[in-house]
Amino acid sequence: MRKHRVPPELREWIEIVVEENAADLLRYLQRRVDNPEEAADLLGRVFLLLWESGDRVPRVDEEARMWCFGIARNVLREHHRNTAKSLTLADGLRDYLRATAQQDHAATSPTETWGRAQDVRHAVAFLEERSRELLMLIYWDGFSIAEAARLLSINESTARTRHARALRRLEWTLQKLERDLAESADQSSGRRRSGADLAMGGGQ
Amino acid sequence: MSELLKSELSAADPISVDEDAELRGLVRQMAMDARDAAADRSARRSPWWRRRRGVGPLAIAGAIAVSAAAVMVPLTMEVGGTQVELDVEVPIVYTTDTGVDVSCRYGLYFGDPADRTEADEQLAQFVAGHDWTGIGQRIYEEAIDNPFVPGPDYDGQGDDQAVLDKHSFILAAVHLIRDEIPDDLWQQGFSSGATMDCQGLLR
Repeated sequence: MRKHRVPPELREWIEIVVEENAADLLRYLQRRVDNPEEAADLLGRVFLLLWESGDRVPRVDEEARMWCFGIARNVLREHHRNTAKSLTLADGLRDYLRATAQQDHAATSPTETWGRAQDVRHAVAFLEERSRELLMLIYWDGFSIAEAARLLSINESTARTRHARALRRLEWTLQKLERDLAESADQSSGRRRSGADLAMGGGQ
Repeated sequence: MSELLKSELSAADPISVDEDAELRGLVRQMAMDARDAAADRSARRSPWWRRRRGVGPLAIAGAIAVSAAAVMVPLTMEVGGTQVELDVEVPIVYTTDTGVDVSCRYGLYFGDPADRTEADEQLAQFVAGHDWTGIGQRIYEEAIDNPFVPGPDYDGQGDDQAVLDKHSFILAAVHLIRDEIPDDLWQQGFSSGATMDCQGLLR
């Protein structure tokens, strides 16, 4: 798709929009890719599209923000359909994200791995895609329900209904995870007990 | 709904909101590099609707009508309720990355032959005699590389990927076909129209 050159009078505005949303866009992308460094190329693509379609960027803060995330969403959707293409301009950020991801991985303690936050993330992953995306937009990306509805191209009342249902489902999934863990712990403890009984019995 | 659950959900965000100065600097640098790269791309391939000197009563993109006609069925176009004879049927042949072979047509019309300017006639003769070999695959690749990105004001038919793909395909076709035509053939006030029977299959 050929793009318009950005009119000089809009450059400053687009720079502001990019500056204000860049970090949130990066995190939005990081939350939705398997490897953190993939987010670098996707963010680069979002930036390119933003600049290339600069003369259509809304002139109001919130609208511009929604515009940015609308582009990010489409870039991400395209990414999930096709193999990511590396952008030269993303080299530095990609290397940084790869390195920091390795550090984070090395620093993760077993306690954190099995902590409550991990259980919640696990439960979120179990949700069907539309519900999961809605919750992620609201609770992780910081959008209101109305804004999330816009990004997902659904009406607000549908988003509210889906939101309430998704939370119920999440709660149920978390409870089930807890029950499963408890049962697993009981079985493990039972096996240890049987083993101990057997050993004691064998000794008599 | 439990406020505790909402709180736990917020706290479970896998991506830290803290960002260090190095990350911030890298992101800012990339944003600036993207601005320059976008400007370069724009300069290398300036939009044809800006390069041409005039827009006729039938703009190509606006006149595209996609039909489900089979290739054996003549490609037709109506202007003002009257069927017109196309100046050229560009064969669009390509193979998708998933191995699907696609064959369809893109038709161009430059106005009533009895009422054409000399410039329109030259344009019509050029497109009729031009070698369009390979244009289909290039359109496909262009559409894949530059997908249509709807903005918040997009009022297309929902979130259907096939619709978005078709938009991508149409935009790529319009641009690449236009790019095949020398600039000096585009004249002030020309009339042009287009139609195609491609479905814009991209995958």
